[in-house]
Amino acid sequence: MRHVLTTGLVRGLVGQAVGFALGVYTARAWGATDWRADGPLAWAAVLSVLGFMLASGMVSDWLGWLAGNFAPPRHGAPPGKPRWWRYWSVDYDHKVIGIQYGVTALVLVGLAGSVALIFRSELSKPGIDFLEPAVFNTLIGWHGIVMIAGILTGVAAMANYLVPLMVGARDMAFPRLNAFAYWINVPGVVLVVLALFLRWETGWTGYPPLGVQTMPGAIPFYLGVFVIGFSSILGAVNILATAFGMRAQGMTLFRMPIFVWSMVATSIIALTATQLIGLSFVLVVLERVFGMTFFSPTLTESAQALGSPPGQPLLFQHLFWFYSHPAVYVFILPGLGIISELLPVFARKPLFGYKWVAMASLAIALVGFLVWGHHMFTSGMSDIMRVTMMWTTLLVAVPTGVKFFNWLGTMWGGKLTFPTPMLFVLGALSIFLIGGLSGPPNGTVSTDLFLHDTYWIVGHFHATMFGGFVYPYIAAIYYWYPKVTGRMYNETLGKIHFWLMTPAFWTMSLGQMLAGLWGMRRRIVDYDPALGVAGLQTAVTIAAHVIFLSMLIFAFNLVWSAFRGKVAAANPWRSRSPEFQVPSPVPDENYPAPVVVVSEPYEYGGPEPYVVFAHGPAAADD
Amino acid sequence: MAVLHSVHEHDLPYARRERVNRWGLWLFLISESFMFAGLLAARFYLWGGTRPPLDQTLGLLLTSILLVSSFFMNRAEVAIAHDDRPEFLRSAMLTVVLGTAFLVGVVGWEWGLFLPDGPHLRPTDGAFGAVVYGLTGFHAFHVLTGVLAILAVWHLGRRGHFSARQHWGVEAVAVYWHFVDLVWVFFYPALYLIGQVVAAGH
Amino acid sequence: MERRTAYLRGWVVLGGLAALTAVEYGIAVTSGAVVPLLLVGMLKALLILEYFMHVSRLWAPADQGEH
Repeated sequence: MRHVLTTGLVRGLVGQAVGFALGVYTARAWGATDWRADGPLAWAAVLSVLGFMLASGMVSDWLGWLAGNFAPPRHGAPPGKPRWWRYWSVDYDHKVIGIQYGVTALVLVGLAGSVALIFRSELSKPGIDFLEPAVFNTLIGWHGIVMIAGILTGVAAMANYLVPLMVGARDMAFPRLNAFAYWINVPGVVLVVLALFLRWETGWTGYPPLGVQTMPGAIPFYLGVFVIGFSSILGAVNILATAFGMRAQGMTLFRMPIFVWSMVATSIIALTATQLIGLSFVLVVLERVFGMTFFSPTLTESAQALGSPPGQPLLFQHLFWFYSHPAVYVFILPGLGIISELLPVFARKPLFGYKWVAMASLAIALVGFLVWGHHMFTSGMSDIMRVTMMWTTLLVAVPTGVKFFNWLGTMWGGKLTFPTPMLFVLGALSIFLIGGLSGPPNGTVSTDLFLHDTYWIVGHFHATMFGGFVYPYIAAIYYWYPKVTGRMYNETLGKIHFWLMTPAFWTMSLGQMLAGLWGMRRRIVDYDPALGVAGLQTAVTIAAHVIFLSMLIFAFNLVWSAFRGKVAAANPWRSRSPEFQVPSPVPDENYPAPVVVVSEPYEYGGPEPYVVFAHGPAAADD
Repeated sequence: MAVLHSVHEHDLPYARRERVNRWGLWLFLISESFMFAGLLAARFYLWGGTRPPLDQTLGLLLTSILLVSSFFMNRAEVAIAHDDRPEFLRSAMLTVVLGTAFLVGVVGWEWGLFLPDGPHLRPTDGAFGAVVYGLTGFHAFHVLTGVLAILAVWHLGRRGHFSARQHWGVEAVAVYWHFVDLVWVFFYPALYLIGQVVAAGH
Repeated sequence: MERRTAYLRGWVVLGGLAALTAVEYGIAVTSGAVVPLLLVGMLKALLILEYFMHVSRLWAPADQGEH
């Protein structure tokens, strides 16, 4: 119990509560009557985040610098604490942080999924049964934003755990910043949870003018997302600096495992575009708190006297989608990297067209910056923009197609085996294919005008998210589970997980698309029985519950196997990747001495065991 | 002193450590520049070819203060790179003074906290007010963090940290400060110079 | 670089920035056109990037550059 109270998590949450209370108290002292008014709430939210930062210990080392204490970050487990303690506290080891991210991701995805089951059940038949519209609207927004937070932390989990190992480094380039980037998520998520109770009705996109007018939950929602954005930005700084600055000797750019390339592409987007969603959300908060009308088209008398132009709602959508479309590639590029990483191992063949796959990731990332307007075809944007954005959108299919054909080329004639990770990779391929093929109708202006506000879109993006992130993430967890824990997961439970989840997902996604084609609108609590979609909605609801059940089996498998699973070998998959050349679980410093990489990453099919490192003299400074 | 003690054989030598740090800092600045570019985009989207009647003398004065402060920050970095500690401390402190003067100028006059009748332009005054207060606010926040960072390295420098060979901390703060100046190089024309002043009252 | 030269370069860059700001202000009071103003802004930015922020240190070989 004593140890629980000293964990960074508990201390941070107490600090956040104290900060929030201090904010409410000072606001009262300055004459505010209701703490749920925009000003006091925003002030308390900001103080609560600062409270978390100070109390959790995530900035202690930096504050120590001011006192002239430049001691290096601690290595290894903290003395005098039980083994689990470091996983609940600020720790600088990239593997600990990777596991922290990974578990957080599963928790967030689980929470967001449970919320989805609630409103899914409401939708299973026409009529408003048990959810008020305001609650329904809050829940769909919460489901969306928490899923996004879960996906971002899941991406960061894979990146943190794998990138330093894969480039042969001891840790990330900036371990303290790495811990900061993880922990800043926690107060952000707490704020988003607060938003759930205060309610807001815009959905996850937060469009003004509604975002300015809706209930007080909007304030913690916008600020929470803003705070979570720090994590993406600082994480991206760290990954890029690690991939380019921390590589071992002999680890040339084109010897990096392909997942590192996909994380480089991802990080370029996260580094730059994230600023724009942060900006757009802060501007809405400024509009709510100080009446700065960036987005509302109304003018006060004195503004009219000055001859000021009005605010523009469309400006928000431009800023917002400049992030939020590329963000989709933040979600899927790492997943596609996992697919490219695992296929050669399970096909025992070199990755087909390695450089093309690497460059296709960069191409998707760069083209992704120029397509945001396809979310705004129905918003009243100019025709020039609509047509331009249509062309750039369809252009994304080219590098994506390159990847697909490279995957087929990798599998062609390979000696395929089908353990659980491979099943999820193949499941990802099939689902991402449908998600991808249902995209061009929405990317084309003429058809999007009919599809835009329907369940077709819901089906489409759930397919891209499951195929591009969820399935690869699950595959990655199964695949690296022995490396992380030193034990094997249960193969039977893994297969049951796959064979429950996949048909259920197909039912759900195709059912949603079909309901959309029949006229079911999205983001709405009720629908007309005359549409004839009630049967589809029931099927989709049942399928969603089955997916949830399969995820429970998954969670059970992870927890149970961590204690009772078979002890795993160092390299159970006969992989050539650097991280599989060290014992499982990976030792504290990753590699016993600086390594020199002497082999290509995907030369499968040759004689084993593989020689990946030269045991020459220690790598000197370059 | 500001030495990264080598506790593990993998720890990077100072030169390489500094290089990775430099990349990290610049990556962060690239990220920040997207945020400032977004603000500039908002200004052009909302204002187009118009601008509000802001105080030109104040604008020019603020710009000059910030440019001169950048000069002194650069001087401070050059000084520590040549082990000239007294000059480093003097120039860094002058930068702090100028940065503070800039903040006082923005908050006291442009935002009208020191003006008896309040500001000519209020944050609620349509897109004019929103953009002026938004852009200067985001920028002033960065100036404030910069001033605090310079104070931190000044404080460490006074206690004998940093040397000609090892002064990454000073370089990092200097580069950040110049970046904040760089942002103002674009914000100044965007707010004060570009476009036609709208005739008041119609 | 010599200390004197380095200090002197600071003065020269400051002079350049001051001159460009004067030009900027001149353009503004006569026309207020966007393109020339942004061009002058770019020139100022280049001066700051190269001489104050030492952007070229990013791609300089490891052991060179000013320390």
